[in-house]
Amino acid sequence: MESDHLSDEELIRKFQEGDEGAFQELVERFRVPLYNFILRMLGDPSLAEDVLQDTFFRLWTSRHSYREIARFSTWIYTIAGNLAKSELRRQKVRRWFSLGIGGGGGGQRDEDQFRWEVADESADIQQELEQRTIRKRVEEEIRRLPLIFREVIILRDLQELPYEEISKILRIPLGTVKSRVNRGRARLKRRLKDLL
Amino acid sequence: MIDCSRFEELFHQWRHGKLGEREIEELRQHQESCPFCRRYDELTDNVRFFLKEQLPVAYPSFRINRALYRSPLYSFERVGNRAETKSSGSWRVLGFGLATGLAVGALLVFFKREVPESRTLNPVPTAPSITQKTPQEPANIALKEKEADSLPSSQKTYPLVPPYSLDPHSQMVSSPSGK
Repeated sequence: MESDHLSDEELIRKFQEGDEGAFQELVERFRVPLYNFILRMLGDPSLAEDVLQDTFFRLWTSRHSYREIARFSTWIYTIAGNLAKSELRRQKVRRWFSLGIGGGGGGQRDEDQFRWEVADESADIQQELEQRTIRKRVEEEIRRLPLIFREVIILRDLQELPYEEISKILRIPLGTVKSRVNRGRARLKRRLKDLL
Repeated sequence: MIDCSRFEELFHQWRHGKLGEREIEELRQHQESCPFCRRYDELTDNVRFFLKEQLPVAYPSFRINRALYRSPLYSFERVGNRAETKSSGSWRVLGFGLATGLAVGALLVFFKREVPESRTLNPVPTAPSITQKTPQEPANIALKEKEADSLPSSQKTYPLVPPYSLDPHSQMVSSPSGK
């Protein structure tokens, strides 16, 4: 594809000028990292897909509000992070109101949780089950972290974004990002002591 | 001088014996100058790579990919199931709560109406309240006062004062001294 060698910033500029192909290239580049970011924040694949769709919808509708003062990835991660946080707030309210009605599908939830996992055909069932149990535990421990630690851990350790960019995405000082990452990791280390 | 992100990458490589002398020196210099990375190995390095190892990259489903790649005019029709999730829990409870509230309200209104009617059907004889105000024409009151003034002091009547009556004109009784 012709736009393969273009930077994200050049692509968004082309998209602002009306090139829909540039939009599709941006979708191609960011759909997987953004999906992973949102999924780890929310812990629910179908909700993560909804928020991912909302993120690209925002990109489509607000493309002219992007200014080249920040990297495009910073901008799109900020949008996705804000939408994910709104969804978390909504979930909290919903949980408060629902009193467990309609939320009892534990089996379904487990099924959803593992829907996106890639099965390893070579491993035997026992090993796969163990692996799943560990993975589930790790996911739970990440979700149990307070939001301020969770978001930096996901962005740094799973998305592997540089500290400077995380600082811009979350609009917090660089030192705060570093200290939150360290504190978040230390908490996880304490909680996952038996697995490490 | 390397930054913290680079430090973390190099540190991992160093652990696996993949670094040259110059890079190891850079690592050491950074660790000496940076308070966050000084205890990196001790605190967090294994957590970071454990997470990465345990949580592989996830991919969105085919239907969402199809929706995203289609023309944006069509692609932003909701393909997820968030709407269903919303209606399944909280809205049902809210609706139930609202209906219950309305039913209770209607019952209260109904009983409020019923109570006075039942009293008229089964009247209970009670002594008239001394606080009950008797309607009197202002002219009558003036006339009564005039008559009372013309009486000899032994036959004069005095109005009760609170706490016997809240209204001085509601009831006239003989003066205690008049007997």
